[in-house]
Amino acid sequence: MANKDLLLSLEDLKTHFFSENGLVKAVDGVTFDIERGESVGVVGESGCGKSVTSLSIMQLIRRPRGDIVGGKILFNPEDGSSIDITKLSPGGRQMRSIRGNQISMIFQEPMTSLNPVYTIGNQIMEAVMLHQRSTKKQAKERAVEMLTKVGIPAPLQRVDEYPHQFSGGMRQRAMIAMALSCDPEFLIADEPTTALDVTIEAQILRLMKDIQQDFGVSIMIITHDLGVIAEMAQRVNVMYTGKIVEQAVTDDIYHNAKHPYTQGLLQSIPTIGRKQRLTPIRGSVPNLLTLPSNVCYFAPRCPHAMEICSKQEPPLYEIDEGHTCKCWLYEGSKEVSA
Amino acid sequence: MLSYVIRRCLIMIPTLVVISMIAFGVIDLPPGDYLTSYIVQLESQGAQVTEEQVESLKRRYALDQPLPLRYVNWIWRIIRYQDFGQSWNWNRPVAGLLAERLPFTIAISLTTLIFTYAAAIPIGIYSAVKQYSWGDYLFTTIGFLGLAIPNFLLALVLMFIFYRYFGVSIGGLFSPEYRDAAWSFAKFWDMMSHLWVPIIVIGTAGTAGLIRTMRAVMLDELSKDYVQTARAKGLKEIRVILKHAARVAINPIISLVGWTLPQIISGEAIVAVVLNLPTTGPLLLQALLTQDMYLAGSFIFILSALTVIGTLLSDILLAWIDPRIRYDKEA
Repeated sequence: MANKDLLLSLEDLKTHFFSENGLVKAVDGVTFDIERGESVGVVGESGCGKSVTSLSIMQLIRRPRGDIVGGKILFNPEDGSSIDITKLSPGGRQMRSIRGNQISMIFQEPMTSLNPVYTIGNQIMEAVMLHQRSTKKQAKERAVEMLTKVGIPAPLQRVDEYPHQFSGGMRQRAMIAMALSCDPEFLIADEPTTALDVTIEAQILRLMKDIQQDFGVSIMIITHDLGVIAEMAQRVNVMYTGKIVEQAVTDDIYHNAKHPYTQGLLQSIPTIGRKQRLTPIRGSVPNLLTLPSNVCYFAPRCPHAMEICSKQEPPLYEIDEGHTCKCWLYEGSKEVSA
Repeated sequence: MLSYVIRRCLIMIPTLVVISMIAFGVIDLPPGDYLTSYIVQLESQGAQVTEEQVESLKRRYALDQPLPLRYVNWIWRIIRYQDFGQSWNWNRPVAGLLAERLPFTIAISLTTLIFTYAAAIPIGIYSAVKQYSWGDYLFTTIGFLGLAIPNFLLALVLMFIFYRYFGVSIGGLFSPEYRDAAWSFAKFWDMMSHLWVPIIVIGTAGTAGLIRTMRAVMLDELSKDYVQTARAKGLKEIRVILKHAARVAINPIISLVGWTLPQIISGEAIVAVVLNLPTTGPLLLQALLTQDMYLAGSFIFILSALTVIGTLLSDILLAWIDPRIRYDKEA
């Protein structure tokens, strides 16, 4: 192991779906690291493979429709072991003992991601009792404690309430309480605030930051919103059509974006006081079913497209230390083996 | 919850009143007077009907009075004396006939209902979880066949096959030697060995329909986010399916109980005629044919009332198991 601070590293991860219309390479050779205690953002438009990446880490890709077909997901929990998650059976005991315990996840839609017929407490207790082998009483105490920590008022009373008695923001707080109830080392947040009002979004982001401090948990935050990334993440991976096109620390992404796609994303954010018109990225995300191989997939939408872009796939260039970009514009920089 | 149950019970009363009016209306529908047909029947058998007898019958059934008054009279006698009137055809009180036949109808209906749900829910879950598998296709095919074949035909085919190839007569609820015997364990066992035929015959269509519903609802639930949340907790897949998805999927199925019950009771009537079962069905049919109107009206009333009660029970059950149903005004 090169780095003892490395919590999780994806190495050339490939997750494909076998649809009736053909092969969909939803995640196609993704490589990135997450260090202990770090927040990493994954950003991109819908359908670029962000969520599939997170479901792959959880081994929640539904077979036989999709499967991890290549690469590694190395997970190095605190006990010093190193596990390649892709080698584990998705329904097996070891994977289940990681899921919800060492790695947990919160989802996009707080309105639908809680089971409507069980109380909030019951749903938190379920994970606690499963992984911590605690009694019902201990689990309930833990549930109340977690609800208190995520800022739910009157937790003793609300622990016995049902999801429909909670507002959207409260439900997302409850989801966070549930995800953190077993003290995980790694939390995946898949568009955690997309479905919420802006004011609630700010509260939830604030809560997640506080919680990261308190629990020392590493967070991978998936979003299409660069504003959320700026708030939350130290490093960013920009994804496009199942591949990472740019990796950098958050500051560099904002002030020194290299990839035309990242630049396009930044130019399409409305900001107050802005004088120029918003420039959206022209076109839309291509259909993953009909992608040609060995080209730059962004070329058809790229303002800087060159002849080579539609002939050969660009390699990953190192622009700066910790800043890589997959684009022919930087030909001549040092190539990074992916 | 308690106030919800009480409120629902109170709402049931007007429903039952309307049902009793319709049932009584059915009694009064045929032209002529029941007494005339009764007297004609008696006289055709050579009996002499005296003027006093006619008068006393008229007074007893209040036939000299207008319809609304007669209705009140009928209801009053039912409530006060459990007297549902007299069956002309059998020349016995309707109450006695009801007591004889109704338990079998209730027993067959309830066991059919239990069979229907016990078979349909697991099969529906299996079909949804293993969508498009061989098992799913097999159950889907059986299900559609079950829906398409009329009950009485299924009964006839079963009877034919069993008689032809096994030499067993599967009609009735009892073997001949037990038919008039007193209740004993042996008689009960004999009944159970006959009971499965009507249960399967009456239950097949309902089971098939419920399998389809359960499969559809379950597929819907399995694709919902909370199922993914449950998986992300590290639960075993079987627990994810049963504790989370199936638990939610079962709610609409339970609300169908009230809708399945009348189907079973009316389906039972025809099958009972074919299989010669000692239930209310054949008696009701006969009563309608011979214009034995107190009998027919009382059967219709009692069966409808039972269905209303069944519906109420299923609603209460649903309110009890589904926390989203608001039965408190302030909720």
